[in-house]
Amino acid sequence: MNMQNYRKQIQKRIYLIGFYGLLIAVLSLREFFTKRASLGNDFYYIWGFLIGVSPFFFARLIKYKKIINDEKLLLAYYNWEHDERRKEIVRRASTATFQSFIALLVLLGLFFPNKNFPLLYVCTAFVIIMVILMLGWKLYFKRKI
Amino acid sequence: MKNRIAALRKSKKLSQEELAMAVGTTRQTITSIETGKYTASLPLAYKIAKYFGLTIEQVFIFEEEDVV
Repeated sequence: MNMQNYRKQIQKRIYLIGFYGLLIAVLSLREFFTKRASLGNDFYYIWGFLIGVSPFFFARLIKYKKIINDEKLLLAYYNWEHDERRKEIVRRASTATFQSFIALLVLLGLFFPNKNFPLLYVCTAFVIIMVILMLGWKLYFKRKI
Repeated sequence: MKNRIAALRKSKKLSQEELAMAVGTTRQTITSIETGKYTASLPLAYKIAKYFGLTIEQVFIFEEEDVV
């Protein structure tokens, strides 16, 4: 890809994150003025989720702002993003995460067959477990390949 | 898979970072290829060989045990 096109792509990503920030701001204001925030309210969870994942997006925004006007950093970032070893690590880690997660579910089913938890807690726990598994497998494959 | 990248790079007084930038990859990937932990894809192997003005066979040493 031409670096000029890649720069445009990064610019689009910056706009998207900006839109995401705007969404958080609007939802936060709505939260504040309508006092809809209460446990059990769907809106509360959507807002919480958006706030929860925002550090990731804003870290990306800072990174994009930093590289967009620096030719060398932009090329380094392009190389990192398109690096075949990195893609291989992600591919292997994703497969391993999926397999270990399935194994975990089977084990949970075997050891706690009669346990019942609210669906939301189960979903949240699963997401957290998958993120931890993914990080663990990524570290493992980074050392291995 | 064994290769001569480290030797070729040193003969040209290049750092891993410089080689990585030249062939469109990262320093970590070059390190992994040099140490034999990672086998480069055909396009990357081609780029590396081309950068040194050699053929793939002159840079990468294929051995029977490399076949899984």
